[in-house]
Amino acid sequence: MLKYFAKRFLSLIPKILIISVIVFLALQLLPGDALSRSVPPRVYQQMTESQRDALRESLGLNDPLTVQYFRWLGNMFKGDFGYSQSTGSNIGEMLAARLPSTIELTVIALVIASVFGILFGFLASLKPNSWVDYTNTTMSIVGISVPEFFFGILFILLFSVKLGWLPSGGRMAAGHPGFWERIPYMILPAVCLAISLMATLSRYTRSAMLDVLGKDYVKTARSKGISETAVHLKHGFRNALSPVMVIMVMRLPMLVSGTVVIESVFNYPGMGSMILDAVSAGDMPVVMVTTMVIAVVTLVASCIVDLFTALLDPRIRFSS
Amino acid sequence: MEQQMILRVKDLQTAYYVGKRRVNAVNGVSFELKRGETLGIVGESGCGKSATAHSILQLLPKNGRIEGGKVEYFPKEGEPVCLSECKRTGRKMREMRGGEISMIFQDPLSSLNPVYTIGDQIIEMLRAHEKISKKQAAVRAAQLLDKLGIPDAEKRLRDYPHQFSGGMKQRVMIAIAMICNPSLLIADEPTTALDVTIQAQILELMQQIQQEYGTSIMLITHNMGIVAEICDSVAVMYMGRVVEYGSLKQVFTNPKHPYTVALMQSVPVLGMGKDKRLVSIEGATPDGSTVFKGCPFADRCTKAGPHCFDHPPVETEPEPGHRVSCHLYTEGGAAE
Amino acid sequence: MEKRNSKARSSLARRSWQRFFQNKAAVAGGVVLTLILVLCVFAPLFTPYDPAYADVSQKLMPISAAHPLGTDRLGRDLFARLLYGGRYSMFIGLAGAVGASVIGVVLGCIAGWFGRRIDRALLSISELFSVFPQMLLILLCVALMGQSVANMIWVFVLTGWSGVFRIVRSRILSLREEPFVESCVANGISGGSIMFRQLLPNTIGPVIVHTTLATAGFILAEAGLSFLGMGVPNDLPTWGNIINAAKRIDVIVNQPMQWIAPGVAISLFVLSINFLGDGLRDAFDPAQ
Repeated sequence: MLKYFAKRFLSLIPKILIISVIVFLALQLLPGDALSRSVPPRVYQQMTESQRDALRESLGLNDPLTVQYFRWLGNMFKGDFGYSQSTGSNIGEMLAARLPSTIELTVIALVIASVFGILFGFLASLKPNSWVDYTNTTMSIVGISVPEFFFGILFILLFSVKLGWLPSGGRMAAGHPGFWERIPYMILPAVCLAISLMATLSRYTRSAMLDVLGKDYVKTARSKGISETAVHLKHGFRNALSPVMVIMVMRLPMLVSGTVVIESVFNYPGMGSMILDAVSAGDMPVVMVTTMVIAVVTLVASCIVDLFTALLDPRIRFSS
Repeated sequence: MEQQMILRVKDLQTAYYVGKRRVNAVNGVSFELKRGETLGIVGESGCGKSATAHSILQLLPKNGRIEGGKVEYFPKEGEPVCLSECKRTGRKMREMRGGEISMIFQDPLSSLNPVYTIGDQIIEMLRAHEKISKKQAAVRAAQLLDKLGIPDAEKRLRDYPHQFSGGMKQRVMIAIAMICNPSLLIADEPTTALDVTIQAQILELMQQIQQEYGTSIMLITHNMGIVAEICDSVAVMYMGRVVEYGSLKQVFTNPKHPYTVALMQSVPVLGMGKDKRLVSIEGATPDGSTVFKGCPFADRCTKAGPHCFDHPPVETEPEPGHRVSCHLYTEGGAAE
Repeated sequence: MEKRNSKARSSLARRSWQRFFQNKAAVAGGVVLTLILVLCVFAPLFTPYDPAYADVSQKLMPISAAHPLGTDRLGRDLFARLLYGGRYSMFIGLAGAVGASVIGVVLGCIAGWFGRRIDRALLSISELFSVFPQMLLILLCVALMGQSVANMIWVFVLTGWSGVFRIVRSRILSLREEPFVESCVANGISGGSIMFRQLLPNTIGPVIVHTTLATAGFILAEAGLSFLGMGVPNDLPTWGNIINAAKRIDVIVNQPMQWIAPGVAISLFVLSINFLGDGLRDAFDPAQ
């Protein structure tokens, strides 16, 4: 068990390294002075050329690329991600301000999507080809077809403007930073973000359940005389969950992609809007570093969901 | 003394629905099983033997339905239970399943749930029918596994199915089936998926169980050799019908139906003379949805006459307890 | 033998089509899809307006006989913009999906046929692509390459090939173990011939279905990007660019037609593709 976990975590390292090498090389290829990305732009402008040369030498910008790469990597572990070209602020500080809000939003969306998606799929599978099933199938196809920003605009119009139930954007009211006070601000964006994943999960849960319910061991379970509910939950659902978790891992990157759009619709101050501002401003260091950070976070998250899957299925646990 | 009856199936009809097509899997099957005896049900694949077995406990897939006939179970004490009239997932049916009648299946590999330990799966059965603590249930499970020839039973309760070999898995299946000490064990091709050497062990184990607990066994197989070895009576099935039925001795020493004869000739028997030839049955089993005007076996039968193709055969009893459905034994039957 | 084979195949195809036509949702999807396609492709027949022609005196006109969906804030006819915009959106989506599938098929064949190290290398690259949030990759490319229709298609091709790659690779890997391939090899049939005559045709069904669904996905992605202002230059009327107007709350509230019309167009189009694709998959690939 522990061996499997260790192995799964170690497999992340080469992937993260490859991503970081690509980002590092891309940063090297950018036009302009590399030093301007390593010190705050204001400081950079006040320096004379000889001061710059000296600083370059002391920062090791004249060292071979491999040495520079490992130093760059080490700096990031210490929280030093360099400086934004357009605003001059420290990228590390920008990340520290934005990353938690995006993670918060994504996790809430993930919870909504998995709870309701799996529930709907499960209910549909109990009576295949009934009206419950057809409604669920139709709703899920609608859910994956309608763009999330369209849902976003509709929800703003309906729940914020017309009904006035929930705020139309932002992350918190001024002076009320508590978690529970932020919840109303997160409901609409999280639901919009969750819809497409929820639809996908409900479809996969339905088909996985139907698949499992046709298995021989379900017949064995029925032949034991246990209740139908126990057959469905203990033998059906428990076994259907593993393939659904696999799909969840596969769709996690799509959920993260969605945050970029949804944060923009709801003016939610997260990584998505940070990256958009940077792209508009042509601020490549910020674009690349944020992309890398999000990719790494996504990788780690996929790994965690994978571990849950392994917990559910002894065959995966023992096979390695 | 007349032996007590445990199961009586009368004119059972079961059909599957595939889209709008209806497939008659079981077409008026009747047989009886006496307490403590073993009944063999033989036939080629697709002849409806499994459907018959699944009909008894109503374990048919969702598209399968019992359309007629009666399945009656006679418990040791108390009133007989009409299984075919019970609700599929009702309380009465569930009490019967596992408690009175258990089933083991063809493929032990897929019949055990991969995500639970085998201990969990045996105990689940026990706790569905008896009020017993988990600890006590585990003790009983270990005792039974030990008796069924699984070494280190107590430890192995915590293992998962994929850690067992095929033969061991089938022993576990038998343990699940036997833990509540049922009166009737239905074994649906229990050895087909196993190696030949393991097959013999499992059959021996089943006989041992029968002697020890007095369990009645309904054995479904396509292997005439197995039937000869352990059954007391035999029902030969073809296209959802019982074509010949009788005691082992009657059917084996004096087979009446041409299909039974052909089945027996197609199996090599130890000590069979070298000059004797194995005979294969011409043609293939017809499609399940075919509707026959006459005898369903007619176009593969070597003795069929024109009458056989036009009139369905009627069951006759050439000797007491030995029934056969063939025109050869009806008056004015097949013209030879 | 050859003849019998083709006959058997055609009857199989006929049964698949029958199954397809029994699926009402799929047929409805096909009809709506055709309708939208015809409207967009033959746009000049259905609207007299030039989608780019701005008549400021006619700005924000309500629905009327002259303007079936009204006009936008520059006085351009919304219906015309929608039809011509559909052309761009569909073209971008389809070109991206087809391009991605071509790369996916080629790499999938290479990986499936050669196996071993090449397979492992390609597989880990595709894994890397699939764990990477696609939107970020696209934004990165947009930031590097700039905004244009061609770049948009390139971005989709570059970021979208891994799905088809994995379908083709796994099919070919499993088919390669089949006895009929072994018998082809034993009969001296060349590797290329086995690949193109025996293996590839077996993957074509799922690849077509995947390409169809990917088209829908890319149309959604284009709309999302253009909505963000990161997609196609905003003087081109794609569906996403039209809906881009709804980024301001006063437009959302006061001029709902400006975003409901393109939103419904995108949703309806993608919905019909998904229903159709689902129906095709159920009918032709029941194993999936």
